[in-house]
Amino acid sequence: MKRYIVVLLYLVLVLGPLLAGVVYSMLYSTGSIGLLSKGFSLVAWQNVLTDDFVKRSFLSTIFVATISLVIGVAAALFVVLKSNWLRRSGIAGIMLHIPLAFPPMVAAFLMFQLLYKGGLLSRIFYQLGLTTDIADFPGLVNDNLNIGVILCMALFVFPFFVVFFVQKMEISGMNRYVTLAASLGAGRYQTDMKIVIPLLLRHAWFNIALYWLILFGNFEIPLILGRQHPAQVSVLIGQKFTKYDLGDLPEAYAISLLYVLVVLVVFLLFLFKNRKIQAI
Amino acid sequence: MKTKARIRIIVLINLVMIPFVFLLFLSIAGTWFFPDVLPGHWSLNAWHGLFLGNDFWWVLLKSVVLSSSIAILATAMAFFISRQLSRHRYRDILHSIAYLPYSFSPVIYAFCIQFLFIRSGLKGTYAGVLIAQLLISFPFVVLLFSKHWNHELKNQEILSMSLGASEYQTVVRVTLPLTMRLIKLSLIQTFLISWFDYGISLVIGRGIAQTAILRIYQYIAEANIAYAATASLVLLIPPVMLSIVQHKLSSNVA
Repeated sequence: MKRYIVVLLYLVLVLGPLLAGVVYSMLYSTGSIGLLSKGFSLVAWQNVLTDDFVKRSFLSTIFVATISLVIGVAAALFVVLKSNWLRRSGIAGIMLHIPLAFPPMVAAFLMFQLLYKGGLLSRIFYQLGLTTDIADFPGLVNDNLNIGVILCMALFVFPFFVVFFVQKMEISGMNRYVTLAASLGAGRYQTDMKIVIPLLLRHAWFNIALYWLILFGNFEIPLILGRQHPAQVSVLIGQKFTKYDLGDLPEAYAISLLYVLVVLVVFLLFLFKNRKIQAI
Repeated sequence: MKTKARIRIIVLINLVMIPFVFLLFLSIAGTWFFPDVLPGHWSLNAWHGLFLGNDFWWVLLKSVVLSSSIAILATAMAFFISRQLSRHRYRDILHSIAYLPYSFSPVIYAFCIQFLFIRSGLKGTYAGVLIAQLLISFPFVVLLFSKHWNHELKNQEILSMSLGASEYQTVVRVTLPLTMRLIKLSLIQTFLISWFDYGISLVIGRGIAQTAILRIYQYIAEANIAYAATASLVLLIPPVMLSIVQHKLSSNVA
């Protein structure tokens, strides 16, 4: 009996607010509730689904999260494979953990100070004679391609996966497979490509999925470094919610529900994939 | 060989230190006009202003209390609840559910559930921010504990009870000491989740319940670079110290 009460309490704490939020958003986005509600209506949904800005915002956010993650994970793999000494050094272990202490807000602030047209990099370029005017420096923040956001997110992901891969190489007994393959005549490149990388990625699969979701929903980095029209999904939702126009609220809830849908699809896909991996 | 190893470590230390040095540089850069790489003069105005003529200390103290409370509450709740969940028939599904709140963007999650806090009068209060942050950090700790409750630990508990210990004595004398490292790790992780949180504090705190990270964004939005850099450096002190402790704990757990 006690266990069932605990399970119920757990479900109320974990799923309760989430479900309440989804139901409330559904009702609000369909005009069933809200200060300016005039009864059930799908106008907000029609507006959101036909709005080019919303579509571009979602596509851009998916692109930015994916490309940042690919760059961050690939760079981490490269560093871990090329630097065996990282695993043996105690000081290196401590040093690798320090970048994890950077909140996205501070990372984005530093990246802005480095990359904007009057930033440190632009000044260095000017002093080196590579640019002759502040305007010559390319726009790397709040730009159309979200270069600043991608760089910052990749740098945000990179240290986590370096630490993760270093730990996995230590505890997964990978060295035994590598030694066996080498004794059978495999070269370093072959062992990396056929054994180490596939094993590391298999271990990292779930974390990669979680990080994708974290980057997809990140607010602080695109808020400081990203393009504002169309903004990344989380910033777009923030803009809709904080506008003084109450008429925008149903649309804000509708976009939030679209975001929830994307997260749920990705979450279920990766959960399914994770079970398959664990079953192998 | 030793020299090569030393050079590698020095390079790594320098790379890791670059962001801290840059922050320190920005915090003491007085007048810094384009295209100068170095400022015209150095100034400690931001450091003086932040700590002598500002309520930043007070906000920092409130953030420490808030994050510590989250860490203690989430860890204590997850310790007891996850122990019960691990004995449930559908424990795998129950644990998978815990990934959900953690997968959502805190700011969007906060916007979607803010009506609960408005109705209960908790919006714009520290209690509201605490409860909202708990909704994310608690499932995270459940996940952290999920793999800890294995057969070995269960057998130790059964052995203790078969030797005459009560359930209370078993938890205090057997389970708790065997879980202590994970508890410390959980305290650190949940402290950091709360310490880094911007989205929930922004939406549920509504700017009234101020936290250190909200204050930093305020300085960034005001283009008050020196203040933002100084506050960021101070904000980084607890996470850096905790990351080092966490590294030692993770090595031991592994």
